[in-house]
Amino acid sequence: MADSKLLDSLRAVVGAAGMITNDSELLVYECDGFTIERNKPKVVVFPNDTAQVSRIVRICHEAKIPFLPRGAGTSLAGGCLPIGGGVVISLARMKRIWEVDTRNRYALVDPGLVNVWLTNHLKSTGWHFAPDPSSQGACTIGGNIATNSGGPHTLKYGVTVNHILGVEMVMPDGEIVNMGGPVEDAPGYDLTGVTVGSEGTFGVACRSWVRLTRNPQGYRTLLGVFENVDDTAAAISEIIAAGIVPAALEMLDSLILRAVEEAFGFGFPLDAGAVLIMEVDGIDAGLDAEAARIEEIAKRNKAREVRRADTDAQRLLLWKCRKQAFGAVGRLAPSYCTQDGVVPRTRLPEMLRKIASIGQKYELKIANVFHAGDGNLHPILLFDERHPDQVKKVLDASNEILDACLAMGGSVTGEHGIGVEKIDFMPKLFSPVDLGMFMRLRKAFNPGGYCSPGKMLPTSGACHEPSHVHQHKPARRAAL
Amino acid sequence: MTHPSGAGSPSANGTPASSRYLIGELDLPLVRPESSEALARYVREAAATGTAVYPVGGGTRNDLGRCPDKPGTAVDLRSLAQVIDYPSADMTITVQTGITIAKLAEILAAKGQRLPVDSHDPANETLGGLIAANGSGPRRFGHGTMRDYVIGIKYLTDETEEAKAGGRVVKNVAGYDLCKLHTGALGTLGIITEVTLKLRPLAEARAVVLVSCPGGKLEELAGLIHDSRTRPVSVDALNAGACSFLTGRGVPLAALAAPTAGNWLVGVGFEENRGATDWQKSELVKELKGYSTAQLTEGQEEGWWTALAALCPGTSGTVMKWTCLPSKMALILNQVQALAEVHAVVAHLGNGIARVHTASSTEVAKAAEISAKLRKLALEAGGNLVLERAGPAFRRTIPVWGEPRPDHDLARRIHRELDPHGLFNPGRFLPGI
Repeated sequence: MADSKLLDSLRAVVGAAGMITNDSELLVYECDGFTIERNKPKVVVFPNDTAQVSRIVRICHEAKIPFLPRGAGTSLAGGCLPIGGGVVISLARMKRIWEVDTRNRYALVDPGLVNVWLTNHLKSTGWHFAPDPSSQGACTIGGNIATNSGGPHTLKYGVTVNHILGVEMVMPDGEIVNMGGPVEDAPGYDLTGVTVGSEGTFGVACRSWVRLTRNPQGYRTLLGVFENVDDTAAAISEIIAAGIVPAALEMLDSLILRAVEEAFGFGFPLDAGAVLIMEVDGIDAGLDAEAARIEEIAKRNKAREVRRADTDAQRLLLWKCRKQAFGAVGRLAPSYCTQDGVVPRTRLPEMLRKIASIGQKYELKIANVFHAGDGNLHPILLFDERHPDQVKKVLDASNEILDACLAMGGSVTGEHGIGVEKIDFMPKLFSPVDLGMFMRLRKAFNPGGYCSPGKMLPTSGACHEPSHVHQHKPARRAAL
Repeated sequence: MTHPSGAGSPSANGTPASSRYLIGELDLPLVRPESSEALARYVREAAATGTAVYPVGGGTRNDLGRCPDKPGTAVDLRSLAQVIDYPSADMTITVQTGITIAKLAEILAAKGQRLPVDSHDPANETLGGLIAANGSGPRRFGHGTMRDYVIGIKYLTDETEEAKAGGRVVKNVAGYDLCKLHTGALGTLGIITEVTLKLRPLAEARAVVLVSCPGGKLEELAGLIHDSRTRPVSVDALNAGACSFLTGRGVPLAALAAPTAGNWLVGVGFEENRGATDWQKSELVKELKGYSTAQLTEGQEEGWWTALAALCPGTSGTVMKWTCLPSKMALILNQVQALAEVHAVVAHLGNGIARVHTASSTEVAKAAEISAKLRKLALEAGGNLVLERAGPAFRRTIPVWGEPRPDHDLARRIHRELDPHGLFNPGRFLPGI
C-alpha cells in the first residue's frame, strides 16, 4: 500500500486530529525509556475506542504493515520501539474508567489509563489496584499488562497478572476477542494469563477487567539502617526464611541514599552502608507483633538502628523517596543504566558482592535500589554518555551482571521485559526447543508477525518474514 | 451415581489394579513409566502410531470433561514424584508432578511452609492433576489458585521434546508465561512433568466463624461479610446436605443447628498470625450481631476446609459447578435449593463459584433438567455451568464445559498449533480440543 493511501485509510478512522505524520513530531515515538535503539514510525494514530483500534489493525493487517501499541512509553526494554517503522497505535486517548464494582471486586478500564489514576479514583472506596510499579504516576494499565509489571509491593500482592481478570483484545487481524472477564473460572485456557506479559506481540490489549483489592487496615513501616550491604542482605534472607510475608522489602545503598536525601530531605543517615524499608500491612491487631519480629531480625543482623514511620505523612514520604529514587540519580551522574536481574533470594548477599566487584573491575559506580524481598535487583550503573569508552564499559558490566544472575539460577528480567534490549539473552535462558514453542504460540495469536515484530524472541517467527520487518541492531543494549 | 458421602473411601478410579484404565467409556492400556526417558518413549510411540496419550495421576478427576474416543495409552505419572530442589529459605520448590498433594504438603510442612491451594482429595490427587484441572477449594478467596503459584514448568511437547518456561525465581518476565497456559488446560498442550512453585508460610493461627442464615437474608449477609473490616480467606455457604457431609467427615457443627430446608450455614475462615486472627473472629461476630453465630471448635479449622474442598467436586455423584458475579450468587442459590433432587449445595460466596451435588437416586433425565435450569440462571448472571463429575452417559448428552465463550475459537487455534495431531488427552476438553 502506498503511504498516501495508508494515511488516507487511517485518517478515515481517526480523523486528521487523531494522527501524527510529520517528522519532528514523530521523533517522540522513535523510542521509549530505552533510547539506544531508535526507529521512526511512518505514522502514529490515536484511536478513541476499541472499535477504532480494530479498524486500524485491520488496515495494517490487510496492507501487511507492522504496527504496535504504545501506552506511556515508559518501557525500559524497548517494548515500544517501532521495528520496521509502520504504525504506532498510541492508546493515550483511551483512558476511561468504564466501571467500578467493588461488590464484585473489579473495575473495567481502558488501556491508556495511568496506573495511579485508577487508585486515586478509588480513594474513597477503601479499595485499590494492587500493582504499583515505581513509574505508576506515568505508566498505563495497558503497559502494565504488556510487561506484567511488578513494583515494590509484589512480594505480598503479586505482579500484574495476578490482578488481571480479563482482556478485550484486538487480534492482529482486527478481530475483537474477549478473554476471561469479571466472573471467575471461565471454561477454557487461561488466555488472559498468557497474554499478560506477552509484550504486545499477541495483539492490542484494549479494555481490561482488573481485580480490586481491599486497602490494608494498617501499616507498619520500618527503616533499618545498616553499616554495610552484606548485613542488609543477610537480614532480608532471614526475614523471608522466618516465614514472614512483608508487604515490601526495599533496599537502598549508600550511593542512592545520598542522591535521594539531597532530593527529598527525608533524613536518611548519610554514613549508613545501606537502608532497608520493611513494611508489613494488613489487620492492625496483628501488625505490631510482626513488626517486632522484623525489628528483632534486623537488629540480630547488625542493624545500627531501626526507625519507624510514625505518621502517614512520614510513610508516604519514605515511599516517595523509594519510588522516585531513579529520578534522583540524575544528581549522581549525567547518565545511568538500570538493570533488572533476578536471583533466588538467598543468593542476594553473594550477588551484591558480585555487583560491587564488577563495578570495581570496570571502574564504574553502581548504585543499588531494589525489590530485595523478591530477589529482583536494579543495579544502576552511573556514567557519562559523552565518553564512548564509558558506554562500552557500562554495556559490558551490565552483561556481566546479568550473566551472573543466570549463573545463580535467576533471570535477566523481573519486571521490565525482554523487549529488544535483552533479546540476546533469550537463547541463554531458554533452549531452542523452549524458544520454538514460544514461536509456535505466537504464531497462533499473530500468524503474520506484523503485530509488534522483533520483540522478545530472537526471530519474528513469521513463516515468510516480510523484508521490511527487520531489526537493525538486534544486540542487547543497556537502557541508557 | 452416588451420594457424596464417601468419607474416606478411595476414589472410584484410585490405584488401578489391572493394566487397563477407563476414561469415560474408553478402555485403555495403562503404563507406569519409572523415568522421564520411559515416559518420553511412550509418548514417542503414540506419536508415531497416531494414537493418543492420556496422562493420569490419582484418577480423582476422571469424570471431568467430555468422553474421549481416540485410542491410545493411559500413562500413570505417579512414579515421577521426585523433589528436584527445595531451597526452603527461598520459599520455592521444584518438584516432579506425579507427587501427591498430601506428600507435598508433608514435605513443605516440615519447613513450616505450604502450597495454599485446596485439593479435593489430597491423599490421591497429584500435583500435576491439580494443575491440569486447575483445582481449588474454599481458600481460593484468600490465597488464589494454582495460576498464582506455578512459576516454572517443564513439559513434554508434541514432538516429544522437553521444553520449559518460567524459571525458579519468584519474579521473572522472560518469555511467554506458559505456566498460565498449561494450568487448567487439562493436559491438552503437553505433559507437565516438573514445576517450580512459589510457597507461603504456614499460618500461625486459624479460626472459622459459623453463621446461621435464613435463605431470604443470604445476600444481605454476603454483603455484610464483603464490607466487613475483617479479611477472610474463605466465605462459604452450605445447605443442609453439605452440612451433613461435613459432619459425616467428623467436622463438629453442633454449636449451631444444621440449616433447615431453604436456609444456610455460612462459614467465614481466617488464617493469619495470632493477633490478627483473634481480632477478626471477634470483630466479625460483633459485626454480625443480628445473626446467630458460633465459632467452629478450635483445632477443627483444617478439617472444615478439607471437608469443604472434598465437595469441590469430590469423588462421587453428579456435580455441577456454576459461576456468576458474587453479587448474584445468593439469588441463584436460593432458587437451586428449591429444586427437587438437589442434595448438597456449597458456594464460595466471595468468588461467585458454587456446586450442586444431585441426590444419588437422580435419573439422567432429571439431572439434565436441573443442569438446564442452572445453566440458564448462571448465563443470565454472566457466568457459566460446567459439569464437573458425572457418568459417561450424562456427559455425552450435555455440553460439559458449558456455553461456548468468545475466546474458544482462539483456544482451538492455540491447541491446533501446539498439539496439531491431538496427541495429548484429546476429546476431553473444549469441543474440538
